[in-house]
Amino acid sequence: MPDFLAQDVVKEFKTPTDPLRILDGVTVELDRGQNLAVIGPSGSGKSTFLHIAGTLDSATTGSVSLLGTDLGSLDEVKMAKFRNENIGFVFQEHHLLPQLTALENVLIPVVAMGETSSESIERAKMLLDNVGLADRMTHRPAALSGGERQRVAVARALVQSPAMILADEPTGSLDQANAETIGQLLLDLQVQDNTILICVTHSSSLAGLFQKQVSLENGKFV
Amino acid sequence: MTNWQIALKSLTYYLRTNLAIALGVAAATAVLTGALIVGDSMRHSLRSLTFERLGQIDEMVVSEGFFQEKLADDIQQTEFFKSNYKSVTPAIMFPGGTVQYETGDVARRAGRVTVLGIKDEFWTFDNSEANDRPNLAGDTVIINQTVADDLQISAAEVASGTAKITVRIPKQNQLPADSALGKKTDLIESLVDLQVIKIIPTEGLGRFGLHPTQSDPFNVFLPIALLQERLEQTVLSHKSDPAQANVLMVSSGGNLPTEEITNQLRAEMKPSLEDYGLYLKRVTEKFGSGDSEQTIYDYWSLSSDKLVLDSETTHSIAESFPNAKPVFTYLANEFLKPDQTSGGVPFSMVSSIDFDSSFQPISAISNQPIKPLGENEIVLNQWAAEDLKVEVGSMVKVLYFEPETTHGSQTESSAEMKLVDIAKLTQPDTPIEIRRGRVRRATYSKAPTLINDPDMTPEVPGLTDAETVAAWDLPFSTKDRLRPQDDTYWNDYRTTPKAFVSLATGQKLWDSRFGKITSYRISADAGSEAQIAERLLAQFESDKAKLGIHVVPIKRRGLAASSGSTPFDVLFLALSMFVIGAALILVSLLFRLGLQQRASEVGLLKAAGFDQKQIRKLWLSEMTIVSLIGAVIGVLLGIGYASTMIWGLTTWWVGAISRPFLTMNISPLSLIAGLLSGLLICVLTIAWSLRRTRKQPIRGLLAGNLESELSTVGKKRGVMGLLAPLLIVVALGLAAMATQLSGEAQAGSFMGAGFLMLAAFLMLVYQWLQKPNPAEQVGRLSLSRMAMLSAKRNPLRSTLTIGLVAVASFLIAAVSSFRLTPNDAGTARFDWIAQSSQPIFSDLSTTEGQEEALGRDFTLSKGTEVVSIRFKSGEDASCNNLYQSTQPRALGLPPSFVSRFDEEEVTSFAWGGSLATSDAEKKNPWHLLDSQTPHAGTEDDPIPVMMDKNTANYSLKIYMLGTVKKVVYDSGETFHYKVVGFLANTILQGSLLMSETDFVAMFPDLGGYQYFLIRDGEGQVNVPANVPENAPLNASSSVEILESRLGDQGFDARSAPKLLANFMAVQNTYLSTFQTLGALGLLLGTFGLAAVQIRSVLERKKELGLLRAVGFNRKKLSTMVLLENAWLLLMGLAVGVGAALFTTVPHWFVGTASVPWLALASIFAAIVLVGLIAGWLASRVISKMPLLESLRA
Repeated sequence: MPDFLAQDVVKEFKTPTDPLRILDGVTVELDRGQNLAVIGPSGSGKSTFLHIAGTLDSATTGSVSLLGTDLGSLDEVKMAKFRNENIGFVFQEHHLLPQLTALENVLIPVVAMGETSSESIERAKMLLDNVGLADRMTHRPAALSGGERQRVAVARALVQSPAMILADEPTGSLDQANAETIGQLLLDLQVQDNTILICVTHSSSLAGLFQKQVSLENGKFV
Repeated sequence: MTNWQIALKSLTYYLRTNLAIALGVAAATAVLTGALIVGDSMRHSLRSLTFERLGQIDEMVVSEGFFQEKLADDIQQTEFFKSNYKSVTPAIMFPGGTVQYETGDVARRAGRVTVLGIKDEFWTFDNSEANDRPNLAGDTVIINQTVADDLQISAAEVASGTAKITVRIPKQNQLPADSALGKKTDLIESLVDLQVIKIIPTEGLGRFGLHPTQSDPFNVFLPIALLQERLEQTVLSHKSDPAQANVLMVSSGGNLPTEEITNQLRAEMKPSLEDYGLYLKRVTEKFGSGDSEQTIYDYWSLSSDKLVLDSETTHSIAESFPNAKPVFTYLANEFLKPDQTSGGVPFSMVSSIDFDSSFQPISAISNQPIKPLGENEIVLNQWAAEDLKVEVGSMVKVLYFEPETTHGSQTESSAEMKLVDIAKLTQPDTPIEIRRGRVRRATYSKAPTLINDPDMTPEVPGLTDAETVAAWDLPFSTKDRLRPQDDTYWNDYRTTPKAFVSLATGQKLWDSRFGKITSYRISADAGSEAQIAERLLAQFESDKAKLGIHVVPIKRRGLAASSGSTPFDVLFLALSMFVIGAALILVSLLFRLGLQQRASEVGLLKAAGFDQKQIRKLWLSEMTIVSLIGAVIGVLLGIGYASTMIWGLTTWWVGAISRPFLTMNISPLSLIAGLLSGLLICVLTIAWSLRRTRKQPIRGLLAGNLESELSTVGKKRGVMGLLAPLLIVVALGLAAMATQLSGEAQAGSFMGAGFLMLAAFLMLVYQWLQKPNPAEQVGRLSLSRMAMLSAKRNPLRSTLTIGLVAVASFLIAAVSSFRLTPNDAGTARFDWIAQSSQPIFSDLSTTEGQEEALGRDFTLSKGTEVVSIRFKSGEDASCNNLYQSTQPRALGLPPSFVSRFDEEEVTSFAWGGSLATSDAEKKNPWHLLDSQTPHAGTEDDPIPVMMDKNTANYSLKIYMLGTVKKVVYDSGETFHYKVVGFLANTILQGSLLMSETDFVAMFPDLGGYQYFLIRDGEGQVNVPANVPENAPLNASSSVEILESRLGDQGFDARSAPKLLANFMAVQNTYLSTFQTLGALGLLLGTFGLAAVQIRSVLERKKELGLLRAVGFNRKKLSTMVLLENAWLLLMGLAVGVGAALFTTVPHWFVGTASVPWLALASIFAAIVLVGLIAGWLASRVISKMPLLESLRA
């Protein structure tokens, strides 16, 4: 069984008339060390797929499993714990907490499971070092550039050593240079940590860096 | 499109946000309007009560004595009266009556009852709609409901004719009771078996009273004729016409008479000399008949029914008749030779008069006119000289009682004088005869002399009209000294003086507060009786002499007093200040949240070319409409708020106003004032909040950021770092100053101090919130720390939220610190405070005095301490009376009261400050009242007085020690007093406290003691085995014996600790009221907190979504929001309580504040609970929010 398996995932939204099917039987299989770029036009269901893959949303039918765990079988508390321990997110918007420093922002997932420890702090510092922000650790988001903020978000996604990283348009709000840097950074870290990386993007140049690319059209991978 | 159109569109588009702001404005306006309405209602209710109490009575003509009833008819006939007044009715009024009702073995008494002898027309003055007042005739009486309730007389008993009561009134004695000849007993006239024919409600004239008070009065109404009949033989025995009254009630029938008309009314009244208690008598003695008739003496004798003439009267007499000759006749107990101790000539009249050509007795020795007498020289008449067996040149010892008595005890003194001559006296052939009040003068076969004149002694009922010497009705025993020849003298000469001294000598010995002249001899040539009377009355008029008849503008005065002892609107506004502050913070917070929501709109407008002024105008246009809507809602809520407060004041907090008389009154002016002030302060608050958008870069605004990321934090922190400590110092100074101030000034200073302290603390909080986290803490992250960091994220918003909770917490904590609890310093460990309707003359502190007052063998328990205090009735100036007082009751404190506090072990009353300078005064400030001689009571020599601080501040509007104020009593006494000490929360509230010396000088006619402080003794009381009538059968305490045995005098004792608790309950009730205001503020704070939290959650939706994404479950997120809320709440509490503690610290040192820790802890526990519930509501929002949706790219 692959480490990540999304099988026949269907997602429908209710409308006043007929249900709107966004995903129509999508299936993806990935193992650790593999990465996948999902491309497609706006509204094609890319982000929906990513959210279902990351347990932020649930499928209408079909199943999703990670490391052998059927994500649909978890209750809210267990799912939050599972997500915290196994999935890292990078969004288009960095979603950093303005009141926290870069280091503290990286540590947020740790706090979800309890207090920070010296080990977690060390790991967060290492990650920030890895993303090139060793000298920005005590800076608040307001004092960071857009690219730096997104690098903090990447570090945050990795702090719990997840099995899978999900990136939703991670370079969408960055300039070309920063976009390339972030894209490469994600891939380097994925390789380094031997994780699964799924990235939704509009950018064909970013998608080109991934091992696999799929395009989502009319709710199906083509 | 205009600004207003944009504003209107925005208003409707952001309806929910704007509605929240409008509700904030409504809260502020409601509190403002409510406070104004409460003030209006209080004044209106007090005014209504005045109109009800007095009906159509506008003026009262009051007299110390009695005047002819026909004075009412006379004045009614004048053109002046017809054009300015409508009607007048005479009445007899005794404010200090007692009523007794007996059923079976139980006798119930009510003291301090106003007994009114009225004519039926009295009821036409009533404004109430009651028209079922039965006519009074015979031995009937109408009582008001208050009396009926107190005596437990039911309407059924009245209807069945079984309700019969005894009414006791003072039997006014001709001679002051404190004078040597004044009677100390039998001073009460009892009217028994009066049939109660009606119980009238204590409404309309049923609550008639001289003094403004909201308390229910005790009134009984009798036919005036009944009182006149009962008093004819005693009080009115001097009067030529028994149809007498002592008050006239005058109605204008409409408009309130002006001061000028009131003064004119007095001028138009033409009382006779008799109405003033003066008697003019032609005294003539002729000898012989036909051509040989010779006039021995012929003059007009002008005397007073009080035996001595007061100083004002003597002044006017001397002015109008400069040649009138003053005479001062006094009763000597005995003439003795210097070596004698007894066996002399007893009980002799001594006339002090200067010998000159108008009065020059003939010497029995030289047969020549006797020369004027020098100091300590005496002339005896022939009878006395022979009886004493003394010759010219020998010394004569004159024994006499001191002219004034204390506690009814006579002090006998003596003076040795040189006998310089013996005056010739002729023995009559037939002596004077008095039968049924008619006098037949003596007849002589030999020419009588100038001193054969019994009229040199003014008439004294019971003395001058006695058949024999033994029958003299005097307050002391005469029989031990009397001999048979004394009856002979009395038979022959009656009150003819046996001796003469100079006026100066007599006045030196017998001058008293009552006067020093007993009569004037006016030459018969001065004119007829009518001419002399006219001249004298004209002089009285010209001198504006206060001869006992005064016009009291009772309604005008009552209405003026209705402004109240406490300006309720100001008080409620002052204490609502914090609630208003809380509401404004809420308005600011809500507005800022709205602004945050629309920050990009501001950015867009700026980007589109709007300048700051235009943007400001646009926003203010919108917010003015929002505020106006809020203010209108606020006015409506304010009416509801006021109505709730008034309902509270008439139910839960009735202790603050004594009785639930308060009714709602809404003045349109107050509504407009409330609306405009609410609108103004809210628009100004919004304008202040708006100014923060000024420096924001457009880029930031467009991105939705209201707060500048590069703000001038450092600079502000620097300023606040300096300002906050400065404010704390100023606040502490103000708080310390408040301990020395009083009344509204104290409240103002205290609240000002609190305001500054809060501001300083909030500045410190703001400064701290802005401070970056210490480097060592970076990375140390937990849920609680994340919550706290969230709170720090928006320092101003968090500070305002903390402020919102802090102001309410401050109010509750500060107010709690001033809650009073009865203690020994409030009572000086006296157990009882008693008052009697009639004065008591015996010294209740001694066994002899107790037996004298209570009856033989009755004594109080051992160690019982009774301090007897002189009492001048007046307005209750305590916190129980809401009317402003101008004529407070006065207490004359005896020297023993002052000196008892010199003892170390005696518990002192609590002081709120004094002008003590010497060590003795500082140890016992009562010594400030000491004086050997009475003060003049003028502005230059005011009477030193003490008073309770609350009495001073609220009722008399005196705030500073050393204040000199003038008081004018309806009874005519006028004097200046100087406040030399403030008592703090004691049972002596409501009175002017002065020394007995000053008291008797100011109120010479008030004899005896009516106010008592009692400390229980130990052991058993003594009650004789053979129990006399009215003895307490089961009396186990001294107070029970006193109340029972002195029941006729209306002796009524109240527990001192209970009275103190009652006084304190007033302040405590006010505090409860203000705590409720605090709770209202807290409610606003809680709403604010919840609103801010909910907004904050909505604002951070994406962040919360991210947290959800990284593994925070909803419960954890809710906990975090709850923790953030709790942190703000606890900070608010800490700031509020901290500021309250700091502000009240100076008050702890002076003992005016104490913290009820337990109560406070309970209140704050409740606050935390309510706050957490509010936070929980905010956290609930999270559970329903689709947080993850916000993460979509």
